[in-house]
Amino acid sequence: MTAAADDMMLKLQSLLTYDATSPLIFSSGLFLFLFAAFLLIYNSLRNTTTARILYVVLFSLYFYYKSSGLYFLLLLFAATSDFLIARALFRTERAGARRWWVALSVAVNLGMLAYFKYTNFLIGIANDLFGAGFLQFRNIFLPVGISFFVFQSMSYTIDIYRRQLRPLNSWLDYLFYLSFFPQLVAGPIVRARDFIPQIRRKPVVTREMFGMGVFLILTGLFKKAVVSDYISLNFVDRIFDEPLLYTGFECLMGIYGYSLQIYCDFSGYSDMAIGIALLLGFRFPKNFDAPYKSATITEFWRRWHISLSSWLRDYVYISLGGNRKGRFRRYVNLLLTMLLGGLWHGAAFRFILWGALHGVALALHKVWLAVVPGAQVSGAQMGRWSRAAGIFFTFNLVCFGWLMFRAESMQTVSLMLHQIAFDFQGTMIPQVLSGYAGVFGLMAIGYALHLMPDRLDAVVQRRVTAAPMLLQVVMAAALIWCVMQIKSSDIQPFIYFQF
Amino acid sequence: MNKLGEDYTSKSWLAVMALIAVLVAVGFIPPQSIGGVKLRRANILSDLVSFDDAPVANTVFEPSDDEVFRIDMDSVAGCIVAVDTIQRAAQIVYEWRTASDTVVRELPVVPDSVRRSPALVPIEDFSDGRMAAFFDTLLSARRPVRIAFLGDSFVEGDILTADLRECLQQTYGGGGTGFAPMASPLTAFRRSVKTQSKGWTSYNIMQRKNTPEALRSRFFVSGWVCQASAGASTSWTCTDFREHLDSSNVARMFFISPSDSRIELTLNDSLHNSFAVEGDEVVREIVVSAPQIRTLSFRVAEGSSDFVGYGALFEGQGVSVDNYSIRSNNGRALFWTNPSVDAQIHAFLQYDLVVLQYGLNIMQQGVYVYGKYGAQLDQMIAFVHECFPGAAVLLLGVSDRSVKTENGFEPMDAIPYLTACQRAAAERAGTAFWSVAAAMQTWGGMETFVKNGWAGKDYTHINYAGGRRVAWSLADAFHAGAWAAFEREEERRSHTIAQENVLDSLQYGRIRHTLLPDLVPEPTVGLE
Repeated sequence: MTAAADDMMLKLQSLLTYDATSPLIFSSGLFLFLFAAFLLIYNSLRNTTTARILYVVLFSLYFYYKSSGLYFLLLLFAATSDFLIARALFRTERAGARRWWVALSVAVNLGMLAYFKYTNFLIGIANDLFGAGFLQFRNIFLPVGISFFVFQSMSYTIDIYRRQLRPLNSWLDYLFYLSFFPQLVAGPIVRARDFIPQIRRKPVVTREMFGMGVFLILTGLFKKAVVSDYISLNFVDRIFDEPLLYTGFECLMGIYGYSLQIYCDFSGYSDMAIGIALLLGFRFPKNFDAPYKSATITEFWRRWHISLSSWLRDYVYISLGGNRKGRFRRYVNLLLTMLLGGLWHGAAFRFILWGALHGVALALHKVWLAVVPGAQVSGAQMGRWSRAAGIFFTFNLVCFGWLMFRAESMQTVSLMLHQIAFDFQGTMIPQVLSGYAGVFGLMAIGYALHLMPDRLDAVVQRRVTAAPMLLQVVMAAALIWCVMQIKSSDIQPFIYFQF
Repeated sequence: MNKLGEDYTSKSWLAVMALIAVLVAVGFIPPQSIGGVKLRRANILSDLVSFDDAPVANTVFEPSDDEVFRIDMDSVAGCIVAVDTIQRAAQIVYEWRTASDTVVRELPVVPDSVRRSPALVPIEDFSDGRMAAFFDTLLSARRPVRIAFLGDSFVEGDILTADLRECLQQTYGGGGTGFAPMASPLTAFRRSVKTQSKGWTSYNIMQRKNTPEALRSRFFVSGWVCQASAGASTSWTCTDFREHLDSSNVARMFFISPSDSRIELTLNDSLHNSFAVEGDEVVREIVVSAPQIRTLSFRVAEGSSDFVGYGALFEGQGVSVDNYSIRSNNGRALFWTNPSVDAQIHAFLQYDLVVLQYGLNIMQQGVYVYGKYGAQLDQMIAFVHECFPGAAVLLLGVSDRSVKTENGFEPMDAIPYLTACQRAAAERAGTAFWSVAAAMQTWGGMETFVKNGWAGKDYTHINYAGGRRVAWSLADAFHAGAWAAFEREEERRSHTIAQENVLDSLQYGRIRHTLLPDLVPEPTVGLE
């Protein structure tokens, strides 16, 4: 074997083994090749159900191993534990015992989440309370996607507890549900009751599903790898790093930029996941529905990360008593649900604050709906001008929330607000716009596409869906070529260009 | 079955394979430039196969501002010769002492032997003893040791210098934040001193075309001139951003008052004083000494017309590091300063070392020949030698910077070439040289800086945390230089003592005569 071939084999080997610094993501070249290899065998196993399930499970575990190494064992543990608990729960009749079983499942799941995600956060709080050095911080690896699969697994046992679902008979089927690679690392949080009926069904991809899958993958890729990646590296990150270096206008645009970035990043990845699942014959529910078109905060949470907000509603808000225990308890429940929702996003006070902001806003909106005659929940029920005002207000409120979500400390939050309030420097706007033409161009395109009327959106979707396969391949190649150009493009220099 | 109901299950694979085929084929298209837009090779197999794409850029650096550097050094020297005469013609120093005792620097000092950087990057000394003399001063002068740090946005806001100052003051004594401008839009960013100014219009040297004609000839190396309106005032408050910032006991304010004026000072919010200044074009200095200066307010109470403020310098008895950063300056702004103003302020301060940190904004990927920039550097160093006579010069090599390639981030390929050009300029001009890029590499390079949150995501600018690391490396290099001076001095002293202890014939005779005065002297042949 020649040295060049040896070298290539070594590269290939390192490419295919676990590397914490380069998790396998849908927008990588490696995934494209792995997916091609996967599809070849997947198609040939269409008619042999168990072999197909086993094959998908093995590929999913490999997908997880590539990002988290041996922690794929944790996934096996979670699947085994809830599979067994669910069966025991189903067989138990006594209400008290059933409650113990479901509590055990919740404890195991939340225990895993708490250990891996929140240990150092809790140690930090203990050290703040009892003095530095009270407890040592621990070096704990955060397994990728743990927040998602833990919530998925809990939806399964809680639904069985509520007698809304029958448990699965096969452990492999349950592992398939929990580990299915399209939604494994970043959602959507697919409910067991939506997914289970699809597991053993012979996968059929209709022309419509294929077209829709391609459309979602392309839009997702554009959002994630073009808009989000470009504006974060070339604009948003540097502003949040050192707000005082920038004018108030740039800080404001940094917040609007981040709002677009987080939407494109998150929903783009969800879109790709839903699209890939469609190509495999699985239908996932919609996860994002143009959230910045919301005219109220309640509407926002019906459009933003729908799989999470509906999970929180069904398993936290309703479990806390929902709106069944009087108006005041309803507001408290909303606030608690959103606080937990905030904490789910990350182990830091700023996420709790972000949750609190949304909780308070949701509660106030409920008060508003009760007090103001004619107040509406969603923009579609409003007149044109009230809708526009509502969208403007809601968007800025949400952006203020994102400021807390993104800023590394409360000091950064106050510096950003200080710059916007006291150092806006409107005269610099033309210079900033021309200095960051690429960034602002992409932001404008991003927001324009987002705010596009639903009808126009549907037309584009239909066109791409119905296009001949060859044209779709060309479109995909063109988009990937753009992604690669952006990926290796020069970094946008600071506005003053020279240093 | 209608078209949309057709089964596409097995077609997904075909589609993905077709996509891969197209992308692999596209990977063979070499990089090119279409209508000025650079298109890179889009290689889907970049993890496995790489292409050796030669840079298409012109590899020779062509400066666009060369005429700025063609300055007549004789006229610069002429301006400076006149400084003595100008300064003799008027009262130039106003003093306010609130402490009865004069504090002098505590000696001896011993250089720090604890290294804080991963590996020592030593200062390369091409000077004919000036750098060694600086280290001797650092160890043994009873007066403050002053360092002027001239740079670009890399050190803006006291980045790097705040920590260099802290390290040096820790070892060699001193306190205070050094120079702080009278007013500038950037003062909010500087965390090592809090500046509140009112009633000043500040002009930046880089936008000197927007600066009123009368002020264009007033620029100092600080890069800002501040024009006072009636009642203009500035208040500086020390912070606890770094150690020793609150232990300043001398403040010096620099200004030009072409017409008669009255200046009011408030020290530590409690003591007041005012100075009547007779109108003259010369640069003036007010020196305030106090046991501790925490807050100082400067107000132009009367005569603000044409009054120009530069700033204040806060120092203690030890090392003072003054940050003079000018954003987007490649060094050319030096020639837009007034050599006379530079020299007049230098006459007050007597800088011991001038550090020059430039080059980031002329370095370009794929550009390897920097001969013309080398010639510009020669001019810059000559200018500094003229305006800061007696000061040693330390030229810093360009800092590390990363660029994005299809394989991720890599150090800019031009770094070694520009560094070599800068080192050669230092050698030609007989100054010292220190490579910032080499120092940053010992910490892991720019990629590590960004990963650790020590540098911005433009992979070019460091922040305070990054500045701290580079400052540690530079302080280590200073300590190493000072150690060498310290050992030289120790060796010299022990040599002197050893010489004093030698019992030669003369001493022997003297001792003998003292002890036994009546004895007849012995012949000393045997001892000779």
